[in-house]
Amino acid sequence: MSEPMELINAYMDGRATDDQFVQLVEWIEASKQNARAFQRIIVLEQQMIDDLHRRETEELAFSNKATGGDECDGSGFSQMLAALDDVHGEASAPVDISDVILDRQRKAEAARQSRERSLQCLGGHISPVDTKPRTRHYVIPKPLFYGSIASVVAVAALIIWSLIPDRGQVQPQPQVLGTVVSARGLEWFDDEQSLIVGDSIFAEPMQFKAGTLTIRFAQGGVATFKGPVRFEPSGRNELALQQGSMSAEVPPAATGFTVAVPGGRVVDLGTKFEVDVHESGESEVRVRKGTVRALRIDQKGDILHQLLLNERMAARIDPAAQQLALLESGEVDPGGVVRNQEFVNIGKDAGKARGFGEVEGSPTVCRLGDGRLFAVFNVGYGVVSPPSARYPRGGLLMSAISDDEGHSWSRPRVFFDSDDDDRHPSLARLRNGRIICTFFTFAGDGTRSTQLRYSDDDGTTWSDVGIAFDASNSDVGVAVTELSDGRLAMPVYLQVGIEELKVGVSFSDDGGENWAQPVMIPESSEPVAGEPALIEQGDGRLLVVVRGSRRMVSSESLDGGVTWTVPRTHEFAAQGPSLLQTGKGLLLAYRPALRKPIEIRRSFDGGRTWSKPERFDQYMGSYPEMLELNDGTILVVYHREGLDSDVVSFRIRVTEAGIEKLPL
Amino acid sequence: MSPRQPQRDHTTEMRDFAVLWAKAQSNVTAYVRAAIRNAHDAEDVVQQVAMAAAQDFEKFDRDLSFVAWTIGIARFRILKHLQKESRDRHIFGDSTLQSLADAQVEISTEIDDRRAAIRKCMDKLQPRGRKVVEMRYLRSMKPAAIADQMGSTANAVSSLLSRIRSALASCVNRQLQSMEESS
Repeated sequence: MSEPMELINAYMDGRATDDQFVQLVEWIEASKQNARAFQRIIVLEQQMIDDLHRRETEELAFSNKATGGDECDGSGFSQMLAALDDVHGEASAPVDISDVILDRQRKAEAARQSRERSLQCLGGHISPVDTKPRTRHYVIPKPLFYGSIASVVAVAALIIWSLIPDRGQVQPQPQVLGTVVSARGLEWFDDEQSLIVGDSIFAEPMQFKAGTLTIRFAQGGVATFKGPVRFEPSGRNELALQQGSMSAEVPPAATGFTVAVPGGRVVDLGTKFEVDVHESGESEVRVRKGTVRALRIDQKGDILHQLLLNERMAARIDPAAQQLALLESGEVDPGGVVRNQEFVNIGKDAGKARGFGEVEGSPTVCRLGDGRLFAVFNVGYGVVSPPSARYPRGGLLMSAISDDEGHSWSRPRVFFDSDDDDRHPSLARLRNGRIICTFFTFAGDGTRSTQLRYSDDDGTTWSDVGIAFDASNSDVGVAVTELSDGRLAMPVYLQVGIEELKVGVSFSDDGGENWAQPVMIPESSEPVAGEPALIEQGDGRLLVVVRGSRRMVSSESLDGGVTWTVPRTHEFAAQGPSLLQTGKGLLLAYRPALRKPIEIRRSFDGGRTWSKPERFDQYMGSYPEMLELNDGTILVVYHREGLDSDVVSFRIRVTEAGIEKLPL
Repeated sequence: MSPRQPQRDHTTEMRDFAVLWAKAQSNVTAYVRAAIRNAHDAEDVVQQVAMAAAQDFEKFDRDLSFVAWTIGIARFRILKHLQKESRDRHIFGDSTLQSLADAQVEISTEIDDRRAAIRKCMDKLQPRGRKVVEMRYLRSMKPAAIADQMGSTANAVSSLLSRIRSALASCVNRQLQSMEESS
């Protein structure tokens, strides 16, 4: 689950997924406060760049001063000097003004040569740092710096002024958007239309009654249309399908291939897919391979709702009903789509009932003293739900109870709702009956803190919320584990200094009232990305697995958490991992990557090596947690990702031979 | 009126414009960079904004905010760029751009204080962090290229950049707070 800062960083580094981008837009638009926070980060980046340039320039200036330079007499600059006073008196910051000049220098190439000559004489030692015109920077001695400002700006402005009338005279040329690669049995509505293999495709409406036409778009996407069909290529990697059927096969270079349909869009993320637009205006999209994003949009083109569809999944976009919905099994592909009776929803649409939308996530489950199952999950208006003008209290935690081993769940009720976004709960039931729930709250300004509540009456009443441990905002505690010696252990991840992320384990000797400073796990060769999980093994060894930046890492302690081994890097990625010890091996559930279904592996050597992964749901999922049921089977709870994410569960049986999924 | 007078008026007008633009440019640039992540494309759009603002400067009401006026111009230029030229997969819609424009105008008065704060915070960067931000922002290297040079992974570099930004943001906020308290 992404937090705003993570979303912003992903966007700024150009590595945001479609899902993250939609989340970011939602977050920005949720409140003015969020929009300002976003812009402040952008300003920070821009000023960081400016500062780097300033430092580099100063270093070069120092270097030039040390080495000396040719001198100029300044002749020819009297007008510049005269202009100095005008500007000097009003400019607030020299750096700003120099930015104006430098930008003009970079951009006005036509004027650059003559100006450069003048500027060289200004200082006698203008120092190009980079040979590329766009990134060229200069050092201008301060005595003449301001003098240059007004004149250069004026010159540049005049040049710009003189250039303006010339703009817009370029005549648009018809662009070739693709090429016909196959045309079979085409019967056109319009007798004047005809296409043969090799013909170029332009942005113009096409419609034919029968036959098959295949077009390779300029960016590489291949689309096949079956008559009767109406469509219009609209770009090198996009088209509008008004009615009829088409299929698309999109190579990686054409990722982003887009099919506009009434009231929506289908965006390829590297895949084969099919789209049908019916007479009613409804569209269906089916994914044969890879992933696509189905969007419902408004008349302005803004995204209203989206679904990410993996292989063998399908969705319907209905503009009349203003719906975008996942198609269930049997409707489209009886052989492929997951059978729903194997999954149980927990708190379905609890968020909708709270006026939030349909976002539920990050479930956790434990067994109560009377045998019932108790689940807590977070609910919000988005995947991340900090306070906003519309939702001033942000996301909240809700709970549900099952008295039939997870086959069905009670109507959800509010578990905790602070003024911030309450999220990512973890439950643990101790041997003395106390139930501890840890979670963290996320404020609109990006700060977060780990919280803790406990119940000594099997969940009937709960303590006030307290800070779980004394830590700064950047430290996050995860689930509590009761050890065999009675201590409680809580893995945490912390930001150390300003650049490093580290993982440690905090211990409590008094049932969670007080927590010691975390014992840090040694640094790993694989940078860690947080999300640790801890388990005590039968022989007393403590095992921590951690989400690495690329692959999972793990560390062991043989002395009850006093010291930890140098982390081992495993050969696979595991995000949001959780562990469960069974009589048939140690289980690890996790998400292998964004937009992937959850996986489960098994280890017979205490977590040092792991079996091949097994998947039980086609849908992308996150944050799985496992609980052993009375009959020895395992309940797996997690949430299916997306803007309408649901908390679901399924059941598995672990045998010597492997892991088997069970019908519920 | 001498024949040279119109040219002098025009030059005076441009001087006024240059002074106002110098103050507004950081805000316009930040706003454009929010929507257009390619630095060169963003630079081009900022230039287009400057040109458009210069062209229409006579229409600018001096009683209003020049920053708001130029950011308004920038919003249309960004939309035009995104519609016609952008290769980005992720494009902000009009309503988001309007929200960000409003936000940038609201924070425009903070920008000088923030500049002073970031200078102090940049001094606190560790050598490894400084090297990474220099490669990323001064040399325009992508995380994968940085990782190659540093013997790391692209993910690790991205992660480090993220942490540096977060840390700098916190540092700037602390600096601003202390500036407020001391004033």
